[in-house]
Amino acid sequence: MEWTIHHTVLAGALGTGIVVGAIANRSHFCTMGAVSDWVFMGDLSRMRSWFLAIAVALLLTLGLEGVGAVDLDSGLFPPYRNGNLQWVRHLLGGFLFGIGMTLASGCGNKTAVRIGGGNLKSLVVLAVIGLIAYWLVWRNGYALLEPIASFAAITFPTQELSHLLFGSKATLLLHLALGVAVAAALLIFAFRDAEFRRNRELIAAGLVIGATVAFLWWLTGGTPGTAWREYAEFADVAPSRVNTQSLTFIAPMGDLVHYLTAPSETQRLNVGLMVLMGVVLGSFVYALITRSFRIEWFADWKDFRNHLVGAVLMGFGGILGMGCTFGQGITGLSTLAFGSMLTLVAIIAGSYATLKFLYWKMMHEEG
Amino acid sequence: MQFDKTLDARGLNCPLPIVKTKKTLSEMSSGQVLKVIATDPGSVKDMSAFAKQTGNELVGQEQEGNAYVFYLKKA
Repeated sequence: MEWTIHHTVLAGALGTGIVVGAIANRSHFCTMGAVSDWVFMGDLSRMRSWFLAIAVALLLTLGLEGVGAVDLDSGLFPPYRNGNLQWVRHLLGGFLFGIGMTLASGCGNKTAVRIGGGNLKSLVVLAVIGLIAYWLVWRNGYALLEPIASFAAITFPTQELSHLLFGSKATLLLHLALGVAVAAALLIFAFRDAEFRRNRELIAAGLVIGATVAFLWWLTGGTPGTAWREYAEFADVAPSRVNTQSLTFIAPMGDLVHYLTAPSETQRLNVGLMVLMGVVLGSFVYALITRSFRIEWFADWKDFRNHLVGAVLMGFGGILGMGCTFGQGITGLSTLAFGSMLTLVAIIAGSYATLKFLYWKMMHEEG
Repeated sequence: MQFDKTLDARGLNCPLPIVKTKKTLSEMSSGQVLKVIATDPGSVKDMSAFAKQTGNELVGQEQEGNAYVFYLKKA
């Protein structure tokens, strides 16, 4: 087999996933945990780490756009900046995803990290999300959701923030300035806390995860991405999802099922899938090295039911909201797409409401 | 170590061990010690952060086979 640019891009994606998996396992980086810490302890450390990741991803992505290294206005998967702002899709999808990740012990990335650490519950969660995402994306199931998703949609030339705010007066410079201002606000929020400033692990996690988002933008949309697209154009069998893309986890879980239905069709192995596998692998290796690998299974029927319901909601919510806490909550935000902001707020709201409900329910249960 | 109540959170993952710990502590008196048994590897950092943030002192921590054991003294 001849080594091509396609293999280089896939290998880069796998390596990126390994780094993300290892550092997420080590640092305990978790977006659902960030909301949970806030609700139950008043601790914002993991939220600060998450927002640091967004700031770093945003700044580096602005840099790439500023020097013309990537074009995030076209050819993206998913199309974060598309002009058809389906706000119902973002709000409803995000809210469902937020509920789901709280019931299923974590978001898409955390699910992969847990699998690497030996958690078989998360393997069930991945399978359920994967089947739903596969049905929605590859078997046209999304057509059933389309009327809800597109309800009262608003059309703009693009949903990039500076264009929404300044219309035709928006320029690249304005986009960059607005992005820097957003990133600065996030950095101030992250580093204003002395406790967080001493937490090297969470700072490192935020920095590295943010940087990997920009790296994948460059890998798939920069110089290697250009060569990759040229390769795909002339390939005998076109590879799957040759688009500018970065960290996201729900659609790739559907792609995993799509691949498993025909494992001999290796062109179905794509960037998202490689990142997903990489996260599992990185977390697995880290768990082995630190001897923290342990098999976990459902505690009881209730535990199974919670994870199952959570996985179903994550599958539908993740596709409807066009991404998860990473896909929309970091990657999408790095493009300054307004829909990503809506999804992020809705995810946090869904998770917050579910955590409050869980506690209220537990306080009213006997024993 | 002496303790007044036990919470078995084995097999549960975040956020449930913390939710149950918070609930159980709310039913205890100041100065009493709660023993929490968990298997989620994340519970080690979670319990430490919970103790620090809520003022309930983590007076002991050990590993029993595959389980993590925490002793929290209610503030």
